[in-house]
Amino acid sequence: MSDHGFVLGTSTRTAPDLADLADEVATTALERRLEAVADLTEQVQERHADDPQQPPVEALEAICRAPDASLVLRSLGRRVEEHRVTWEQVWREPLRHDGGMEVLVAYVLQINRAPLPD
Amino acid sequence: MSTEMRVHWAHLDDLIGSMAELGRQSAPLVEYFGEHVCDPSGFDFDTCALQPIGAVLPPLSDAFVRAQNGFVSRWTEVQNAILSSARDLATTDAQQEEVFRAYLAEGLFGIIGAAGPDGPRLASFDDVGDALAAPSPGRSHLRHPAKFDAIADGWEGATGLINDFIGMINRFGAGLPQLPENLREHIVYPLSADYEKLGANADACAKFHDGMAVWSDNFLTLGGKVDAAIEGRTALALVGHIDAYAAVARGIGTVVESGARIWTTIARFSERIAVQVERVLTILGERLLKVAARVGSKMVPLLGWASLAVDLAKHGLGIVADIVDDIREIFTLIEACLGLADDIKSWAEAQSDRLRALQRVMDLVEQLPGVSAQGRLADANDAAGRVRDRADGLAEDAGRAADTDAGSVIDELERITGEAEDDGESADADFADVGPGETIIAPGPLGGPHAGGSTSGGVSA
Repeated sequence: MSDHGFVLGTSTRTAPDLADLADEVATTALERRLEAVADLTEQVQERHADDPQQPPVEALEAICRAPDASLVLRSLGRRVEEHRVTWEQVWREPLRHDGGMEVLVAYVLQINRAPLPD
Repeated sequence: MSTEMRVHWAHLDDLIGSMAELGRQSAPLVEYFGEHVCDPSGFDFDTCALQPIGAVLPPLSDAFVRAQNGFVSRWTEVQNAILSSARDLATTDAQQEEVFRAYLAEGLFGIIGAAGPDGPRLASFDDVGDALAAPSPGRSHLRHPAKFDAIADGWEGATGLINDFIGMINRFGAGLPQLPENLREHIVYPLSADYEKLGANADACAKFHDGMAVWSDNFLTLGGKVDAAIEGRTALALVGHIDAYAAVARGIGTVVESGARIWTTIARFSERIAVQVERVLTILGERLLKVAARVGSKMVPLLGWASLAVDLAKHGLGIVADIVDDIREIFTLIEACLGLADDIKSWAEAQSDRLRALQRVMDLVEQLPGVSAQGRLADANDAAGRVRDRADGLAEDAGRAADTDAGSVIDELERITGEAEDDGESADADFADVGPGETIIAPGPLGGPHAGGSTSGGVSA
């Protein structure tokens, strides 16, 4: 007779390990959260896939032609000159083109040097 | 082996010297465990969401230091017990009095103290330190976004620009918060540990096991040489003790080795988190830079911010509504990343419980057979059995904790502790006539080296 006053019969199942269950719950929750973040990222990318692109061509060319431009920037400028890629393509998907992010960063840093109004 | 206690006086201090050396070999193991197995540097950043794992490490290291202290204390008791038995034998046997006088004059601790690093040895031991090579750092197992570093470098400039923009439009009632200016410090580090360093923790577990295996083997080597110094029931009981120490050393090593899988799991998942976060931040960085560029496009060349301020004053926030929407979208992405932190913390808590389970293996040391003036062989055998049972339970826990093939760990420990059990059984058979309360090791003064038998001893030829 059970100490608890009732008998349910003999179970062939072993009691689950609470530490294992806690780990499983935590891992599942984290995996779902990671997937949700990945989904959100994809949605953002899709939302902006067709944004009109208006690259500041003159500024980008100047950045790539600057005497102190890095090799990757000079290479990008050369590829644009040779019509192997356009500034619009670079601007639309900077991550897909070598030097794309670098020229974007350089452009933003250049703008950032503009003084703030009082 | 003879049932009489025989002391080969010329080798007694060799035995004690060897035991002292084995005791000293625990020091590099403890140091390695604290420095490498429990190295918390993978979680160095204070706000790291994986800190619950890092927080387990100092107590785990402390537990190992306490275990070493317990080990040294018990091991010293065993050495004292041998000397006490030898002293009793010499005191009983008047023929040996002259021979043993020097030992008595120095006192027991004088003899142990003389067994320094360069003293005589009964056995030659392998160097534990040779097995304790510095752990190899882990490596990346996943493909990371290639442009992440470039974005991280540009983040500060972009956020600076956008925050200036936010500051300006807030003057016109936009009400936007500022963006965090340091990408790695505010988002990347809190969400992911240094998974390459965590890989070194895993490797340290394996190398620590190697060191413990060498140490364990050294105990067994000593056990095989005991009869060169002493023979008889005391010697058999001592061998039983030594085997128990060997089993515990190997058992601890095996359980800690299973910790390598926990560390590997943590390192791999941590890298997975890092890759996902880097991926999000790469997209986020691109969005941020483009928004910053658009902010720039709103400014008239040379006039800069002043031109934008004039436009805002004339036309209101409507002229930058698209940019404001984009900034809000950036905040959504940042919040999604930071929202990960709570789930990462919960996951880290679960992993820290798994590592904490390793701490219980240190209890094995407390199960080692203690030796006292009233010590009995039966006590030693019972203790060896407790060591075995405890090791089995801990191996099961460690197996579950490692989320892996627990059977292999259990099998290993059963093999190890089975050896200790066999030794215990053989000792039982030899001393079946020894009843409860009868002393074998470390009898009281003038009480004889063991009960029920001759106290005669002799100098071996």
